[in-house]
Amino acid sequence: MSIAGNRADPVEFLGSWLINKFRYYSDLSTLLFLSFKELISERKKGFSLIWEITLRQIYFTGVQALKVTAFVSLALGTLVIVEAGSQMNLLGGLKFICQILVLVIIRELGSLFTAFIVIGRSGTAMATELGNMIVAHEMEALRAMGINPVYFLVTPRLIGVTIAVICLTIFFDLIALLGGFLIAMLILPVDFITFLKELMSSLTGVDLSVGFLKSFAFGLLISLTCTYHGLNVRYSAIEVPQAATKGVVSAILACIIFNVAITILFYL
Amino acid sequence: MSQQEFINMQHDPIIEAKQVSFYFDGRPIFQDLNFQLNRGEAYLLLGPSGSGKSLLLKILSGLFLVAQGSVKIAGIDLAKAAPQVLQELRVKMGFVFQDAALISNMCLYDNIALPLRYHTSISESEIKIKIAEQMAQLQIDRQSDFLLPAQLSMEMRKRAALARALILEPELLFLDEPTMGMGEEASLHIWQFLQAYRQKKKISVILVQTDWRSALPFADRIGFLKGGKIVCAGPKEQVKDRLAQISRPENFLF
Repeated sequence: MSIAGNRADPVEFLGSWLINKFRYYSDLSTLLFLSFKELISERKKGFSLIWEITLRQIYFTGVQALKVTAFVSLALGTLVIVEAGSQMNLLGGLKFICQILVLVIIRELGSLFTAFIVIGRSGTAMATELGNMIVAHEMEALRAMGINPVYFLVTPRLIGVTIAVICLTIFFDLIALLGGFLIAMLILPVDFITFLKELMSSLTGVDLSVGFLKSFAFGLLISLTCTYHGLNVRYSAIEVPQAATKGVVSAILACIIFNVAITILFYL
Repeated sequence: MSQQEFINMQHDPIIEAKQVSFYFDGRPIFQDLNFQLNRGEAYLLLGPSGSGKSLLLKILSGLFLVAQGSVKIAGIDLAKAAPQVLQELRVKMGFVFQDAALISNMCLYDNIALPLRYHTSISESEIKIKIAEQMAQLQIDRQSDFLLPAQLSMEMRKRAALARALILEPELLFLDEPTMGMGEEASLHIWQFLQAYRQKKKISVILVQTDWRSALPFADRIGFLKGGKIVCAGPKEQVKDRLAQISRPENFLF
């Protein structure tokens, strides 16, 4: 069909766009369902192998990202504390700073920034690795050996990345709050103990639940979208970087949309 | 192999493909193709480059399912079999890919151990013993144990792929250019090993080999693939006279 044909028929264009979107989300849901279904149906096969791959994923996504996460969280924590601190006298003192910190870091940006770090490091790596495996016929080799590719490749990545994102978010929040405060203490007249007491009184169970829910969902969304795009490579090595780009963009969008949705849900 | 043994084999097919048609991106590759591999038999599949030999191997092993016709292994229709049944079947099959297809992020040792670790619950010490035996038989250098496939020569990769395919002691073996990238001496060793292994374990083998002369002593039957069909097939003794005429790829045209 010509481009002119598409322009002449916006309804058809919209229809095909909607069908493609429906297919995409239906494929993602199927992959998510299969990865946990296979975990049950294949549980007796190569459990130690799957466990080892999961641990390796946690190490790569979580442990190896500690440095960059510490740097970003420290910078964000410092910025938020200094900015809020400069308005402290105008808007209600230390209590106000702590409430801002809980809102900005624990409820909103802690999990989102962690997700962006993980997407940049592990999301691209997963999509590229799986894409390359398809091009090199390794996926066929796994199937020929009777090894379930979803159970062997997707399930450990889903579990590993999700655990790593949750742990990294906790690390991010701690460094952002405490480390950021230590730096801000140099320029603000607040002592650490008073700050800690105010922070604890501002922190509620809902804040922690929102932070946890978001990091859990981000972990699943990142691993799911990136493995999906990696598995969608068909024949050529040229498709591999394209798959990585698609995976990253989809993961970022999915995280942002989910973040907004959860925030609205908890405020309403 | 005696005449009687050969006749007995013909009544016991392990692979049966009937009226198989296969399309790749809408383009017909095979049309109404029929194929039979008998239990204990070694079948050498020949054909010009691009005739679909490797693809046929993947279809016959169930890696690609056909839309028309049927492929049966041990009486099980691959298109209709449940995933669990297909998986159990694959445990009894070994496949050596043209480019070895070792898992790129696993070292050579882990690649060979992979089927054992996935499908069996034997201990690491037992796995170690089994792999040591397999590697010794295939003359795989133990200093390469912890090297990644990208760090190995093609010859070593093919040996490792063969070791991986045989580690679960399969009943049916698919070999796609098993000696590609090997020197004459190494190639001869692999064929001798495979011949001895086949006689000992009574396995059935289907193989694709461009350098057909080296594979000839190993094969019982030969088939020529051309234009999406097996145009000439028969016992080695009957077909080998025609093979003598083949010295260039264009002579595959019948």
